[in-house]
Amino acid sequence: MTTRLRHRHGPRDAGAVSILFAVGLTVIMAIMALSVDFGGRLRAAARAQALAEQAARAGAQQINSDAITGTTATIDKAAATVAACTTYLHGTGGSCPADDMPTLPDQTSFTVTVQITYQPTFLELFIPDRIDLTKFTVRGKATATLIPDH
Amino acid sequence: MKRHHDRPLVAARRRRLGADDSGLASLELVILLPAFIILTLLAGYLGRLNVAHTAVDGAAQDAARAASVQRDLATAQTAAKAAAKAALDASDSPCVFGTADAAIQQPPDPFAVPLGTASNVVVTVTCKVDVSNLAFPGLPIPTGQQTVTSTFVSPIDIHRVRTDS
Repeated sequence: MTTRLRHRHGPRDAGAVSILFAVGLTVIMAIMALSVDFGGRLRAAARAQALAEQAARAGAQQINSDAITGTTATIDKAAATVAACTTYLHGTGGSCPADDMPTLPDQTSFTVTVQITYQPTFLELFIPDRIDLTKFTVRGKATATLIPDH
Repeated sequence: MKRHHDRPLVAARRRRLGADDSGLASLELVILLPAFIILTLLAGYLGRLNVAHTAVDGAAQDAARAASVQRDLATAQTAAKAAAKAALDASDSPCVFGTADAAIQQPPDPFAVPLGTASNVVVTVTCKVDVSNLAFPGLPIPTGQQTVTSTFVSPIDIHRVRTDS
């Protein structure tokens, strides 16, 4: 019965190209949306790194005041953290993550990690509520070191 | 014997159902090809803008740092512009030559603070990207030149002498 029916009507090709195009266009558009969003993520990562470098520089300038009298300059950790994480990063979109606060690897170096949460443009349109925004949290890390005056 | 009987019937039914597909595929191609071209151009547009954004981001970082090592606003403004132009007027830049510009956010003058006080130079760099060769009827992207902007912040060394203060 089935064989006879198919034989009678013949294989119909109408719509085959449109299906190919519909599937193809959807896939291409999805790839384009992904490349825009992940391209933005790359830019956010580069910005986080640049902010970390400047934050480290801002923090490392908070040296103890008796350096003026000739004692070796050392970094004041509390003041450096405020200078880097509050004074400098305020309004830049970057922040110091609570689980990776600035550290002093030694008395003359200051290391800062800066975090940026990047908002994807398209991914949320396609699959809202399914996007793990922590995947779009990027970090940069930099160290500034005091150079002793010889 | 049965097949002989069937053949004219099948032919007649096909014609009636309009199942003759010859020419349909190429007709669909003609309709859908513009859609495909538009999509390709859109991909080119998004790609070009992303490259430009990355370049302007880098230029803004250069310009902000160049400005923050100066001692007063006027010199800093000049230094920021020079740094932005050096980064964006390069031969491999996506920006139209000569459209790169930088501006220090003010007032307040970031250099007019006492020595030892933290202060940030905020620099916004812009340039124009040419997208006119991506124009296509029905494509919803702006034609001509499009402005790309990026802002970056650089702290002024707190123990550095400023002439504005």
